[in-house]
Amino acid sequence: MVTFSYTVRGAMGLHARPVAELATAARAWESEIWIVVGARRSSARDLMGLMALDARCGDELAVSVAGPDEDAAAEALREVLTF
Amino acid sequence: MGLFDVFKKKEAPAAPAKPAAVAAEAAAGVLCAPVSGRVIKMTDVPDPVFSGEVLGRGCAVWPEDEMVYAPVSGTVTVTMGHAVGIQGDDGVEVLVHVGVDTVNLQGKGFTGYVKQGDAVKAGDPVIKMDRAVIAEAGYADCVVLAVSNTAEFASVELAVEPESTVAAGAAVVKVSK
Repeated sequence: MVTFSYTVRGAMGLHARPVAELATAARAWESEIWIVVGARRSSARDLMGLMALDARCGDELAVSVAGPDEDAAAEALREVLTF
Repeated sequence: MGLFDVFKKKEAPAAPAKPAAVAAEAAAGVLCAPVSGRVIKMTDVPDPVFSGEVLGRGCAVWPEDEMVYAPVSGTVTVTMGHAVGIQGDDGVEVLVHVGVDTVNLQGKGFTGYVKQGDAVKAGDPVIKMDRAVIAEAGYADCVVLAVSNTAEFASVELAVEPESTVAAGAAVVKVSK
């Protein structure tokens, strides 16, 4: 399993547009990808789940990637986490 | 009660009255129009994230009114000022997103009537938008209705002709397993 964290920089937090980008990237991989914010957790493929995380600017996302392509998937996710 | 008790009574703060619900053509696998107006295909929404159906299939409505209603009965999972997510009782997850780039208004011009965890019925009011505020900011005010778990369904199709005008609560999208 590969884990890393990312702090949300965008003033609007994890709203529809970044969620769409993140889920699209996550769906390209076989690995299970989870995002945890505080006490809430969502699959990175789950659009509504990601929006329900209600992640705001400054919140830390704990990302975990587990599966056969976890290294490449984690690398790809780091690239889309720019919001 | 004595005469003077009337004057002792504290005045209750005027709660913002929750608007009335509309009659919705609710049924399993049916999404109702969230607002009155002109229905367009998702692929015609002026934003690539929506038109590319990245947030799911569905439709959008160019509004003729400012009141936005729940398209399905279920539980509110997301509230963002300009958007509401509902987990439908029949398994459909629906995002109602008012306008394009309206996230930048940070809630200005939007009045919300629901919060995360609330149970709603199709046709219940969820958001009121101020179309003048959205127009002044230069944003489109089309109301997008997206099935965010589209992948779990065999089909998500329009139930009315594109460009037709509907009343809020009319059946506009059909979803089937």
